[in-house]
Amino acid sequence: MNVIVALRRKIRSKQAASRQESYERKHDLLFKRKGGTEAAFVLVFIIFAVFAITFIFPFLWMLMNSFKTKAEFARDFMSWPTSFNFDNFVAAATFSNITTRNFNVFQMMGMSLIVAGFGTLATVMTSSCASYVVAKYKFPGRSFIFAVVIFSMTVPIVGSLPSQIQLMQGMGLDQTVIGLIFLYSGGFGSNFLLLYSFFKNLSWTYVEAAKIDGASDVRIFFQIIVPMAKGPIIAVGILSLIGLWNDYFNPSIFLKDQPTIAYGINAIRQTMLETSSEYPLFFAVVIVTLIPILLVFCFFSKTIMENTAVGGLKG
Amino acid sequence: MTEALAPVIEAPKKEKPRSIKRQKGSGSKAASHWRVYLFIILMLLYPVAQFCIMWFGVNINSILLTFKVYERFQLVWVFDSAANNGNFFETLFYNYGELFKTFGQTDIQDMFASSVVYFGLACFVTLPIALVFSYFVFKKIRGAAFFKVIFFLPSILPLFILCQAYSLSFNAEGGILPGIFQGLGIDTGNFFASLFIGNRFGQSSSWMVWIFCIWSGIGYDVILLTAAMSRIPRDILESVKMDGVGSFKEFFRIIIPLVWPTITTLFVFGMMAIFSTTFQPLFLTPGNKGTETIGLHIYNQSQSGSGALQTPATLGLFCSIVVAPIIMGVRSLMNRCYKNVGF
Repeated sequence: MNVIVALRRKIRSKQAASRQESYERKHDLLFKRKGGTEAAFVLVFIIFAVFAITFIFPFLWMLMNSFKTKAEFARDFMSWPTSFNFDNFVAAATFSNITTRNFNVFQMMGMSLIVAGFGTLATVMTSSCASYVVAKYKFPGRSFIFAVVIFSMTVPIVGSLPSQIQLMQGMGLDQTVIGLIFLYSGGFGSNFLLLYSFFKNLSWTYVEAAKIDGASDVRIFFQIIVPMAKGPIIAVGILSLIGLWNDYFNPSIFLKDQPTIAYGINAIRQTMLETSSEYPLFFAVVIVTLIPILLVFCFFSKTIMENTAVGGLKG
Repeated sequence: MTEALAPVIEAPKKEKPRSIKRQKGSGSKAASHWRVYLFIILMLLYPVAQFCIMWFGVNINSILLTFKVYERFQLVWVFDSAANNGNFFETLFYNYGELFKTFGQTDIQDMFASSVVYFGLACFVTLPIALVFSYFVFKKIRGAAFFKVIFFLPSILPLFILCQAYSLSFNAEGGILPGIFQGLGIDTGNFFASLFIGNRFGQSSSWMVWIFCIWSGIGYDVILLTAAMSRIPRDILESVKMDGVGSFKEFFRIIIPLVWPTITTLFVFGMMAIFSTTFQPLFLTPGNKGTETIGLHIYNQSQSGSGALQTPATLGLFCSIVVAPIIMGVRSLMNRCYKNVGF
């Protein structure tokens, strides 16, 4: 029920934003247009609309066909289903075989939740700690750490995968959940930069007051800084969660036997499409897989979009 | 400045980092000084250790791997292997010699050519289209908010699902496009059945991957460019408007120079597409050698389980040595094109 209320609120806020845009188009000096410019805007609007359809329609088409039986789909794959039965969704939820390592969709989602959830928790914690200390404390090696982090992000290094595999095998972390979480737990990625820029510009007044009152650095960090940085930390967390949930690369190498949904869905496709052409069933799997991501995106779209944009600011 | 133009993360006052050295002095202050050091060490211990293992460790090991060969089910130094022919340099660079020998093979040449195409697509097709699209979104085209969400979709959807949505749209056995043509009574013959087939670079399967990369890549560029444009101070845009500057001139003379740092970033990302394009060919044309890229080649060789990790490691290191300076140089040149105004 709460989800519906929240969704309604989201829709209302989107409508308000749309009204605001419409008002600006009519009355704001910067966005008013006429004649040839307006014609160009209409033309581009049509291009945008076609572009949007190419993104939305395939998924609506999959949704529509996910209610059909295999025979119905083979007969006509462009018509509405004769009835909206959820048999494919039930079958999709319980489907498992040797190719999927006997994991069904929900077990794969569970794996994704564990790996992406703990991975996100770990990377957010480590990047918060590292960025706060590097931004706010002056200590020997601080500039070196910052320079190395920037260097590691700007210099393209290719083909470190074989070495990574060897190292993970050497440490006994290959094919373990903890190993994958360890891979994800880095504190010096793009999350570091985003949080670093926040901490760098954060006012020190509250901390000084707390210092005078005798608070320790640990207490200041957890009781003053973390609540103040709640916004950016949540943004970084959501971005990481989506990124790790969708990650195919690492689970396909370091966690083959316990597939996450991003990796396991390929195995499902191989069985359903390549061997038995069970298209409606596979569409149901895709729809089920998309639900969590779309829900997260619906609730945090503003946070996600704004902070993704911040991540790629400067050249 | 309107709320929309304000920076996303509010930046109050910039203050200097705290210097620990200031706390040196009396006994209690010295104790506090050590507590601060302990705090810093504890906060950095895990992130630095993880970084040392997963960046320094991995990259150093990667270099070392290029001086090993897989023999008797294990990786051994080239000097302790059958590759040792008595000539120091030939033995030391044995893996590089073997790598250079493969450059004459047609499939390896195809692989390099097919990888470089993604740089061209990302920098000279996707980026210019995205730049134009972002300008219209920034200028609040009807439905701009909705289109922004649509442009963002490829960034949040799993790549595999996006690839499936794309390839199934063309599926001859029941895809959207064949269905539409069938509905219109147009006979497409074998056209859709052969779209994802073609084992040489430049054949239909490559084209399908290229179109996918453009289609799915525009959105991310648009989001970053629109965000950069929204930070342009309103005063500048108002004065431009009052001076009667047309949209065309405004786009080329005002907007592009002001968002140049973001264009540079996206251009550099585009250059890295030579290596980063890995899964698009794998998901769209599985098992097809004609669409293989450097990234996919390294991925396939690394996870094949053969144990011969030195071959992909050598290819990777060779590519890094050749391309990294080029990318850094281009980045540096592009940064000099326009003065960074830092608004």
